[in-house]
Amino acid sequence: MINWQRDLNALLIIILSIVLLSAFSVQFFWHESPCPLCLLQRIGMISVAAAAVLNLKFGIQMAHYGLMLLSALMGGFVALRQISLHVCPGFPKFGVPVLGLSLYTWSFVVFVCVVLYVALLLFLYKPEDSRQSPPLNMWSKAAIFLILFIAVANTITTLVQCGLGPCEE
Amino acid sequence: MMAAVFLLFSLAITAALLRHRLIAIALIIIGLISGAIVFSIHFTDIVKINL
Repeated sequence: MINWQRDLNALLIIILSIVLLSAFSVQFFWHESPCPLCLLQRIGMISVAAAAVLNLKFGIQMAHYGLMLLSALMGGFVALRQISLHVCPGFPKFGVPVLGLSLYTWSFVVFVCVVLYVALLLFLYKPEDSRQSPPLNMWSKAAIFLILFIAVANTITTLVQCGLGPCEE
Repeated sequence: MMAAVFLLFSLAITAALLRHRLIAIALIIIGLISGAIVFSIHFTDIVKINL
């Protein structure tokens, strides 16, 4: 059971990495600079992934799932806040729509899916899993280094975009 | 300011890789609190909404 749980955590990190890389591709190939709310949503996704990294490195623990849920709630709240800014009829959308929905709406969908996914993982949780921490397989290592790369890349691009002060709207 | 929050999460993942669990958890929690502070700085004074 422990390996299934860890593989599912690694899968979550990889899915979030793909979402974050897609946001990067919109930023660089479509020249859409992310707004401060978009950056906060990215922070929420990286935070969920960081909590999943803890599950991979230290064994499955309830505290790590708690951190995941907190991060998903924070990111989901920010996404909902941005949706509420643009929800009125006649008010323009922000950014390029993807498959008919804005990126912040997709972001909200992602956070809701993370909450459902964590609920599924908690169904599979057994207390004895928290005492086991076998060596990482190749996928888990790849997932950890991928999300670390994305977090560092976001740090650099945000520093270039916003500097050390508050970000421009 | 926002870059500093990203940096906290980069450090948290690095700490987890180096097997420092408590430091990683502390950095994630500080990162989430910093994110909330950045959110409040950016948005509470820009848009007033009635809840």
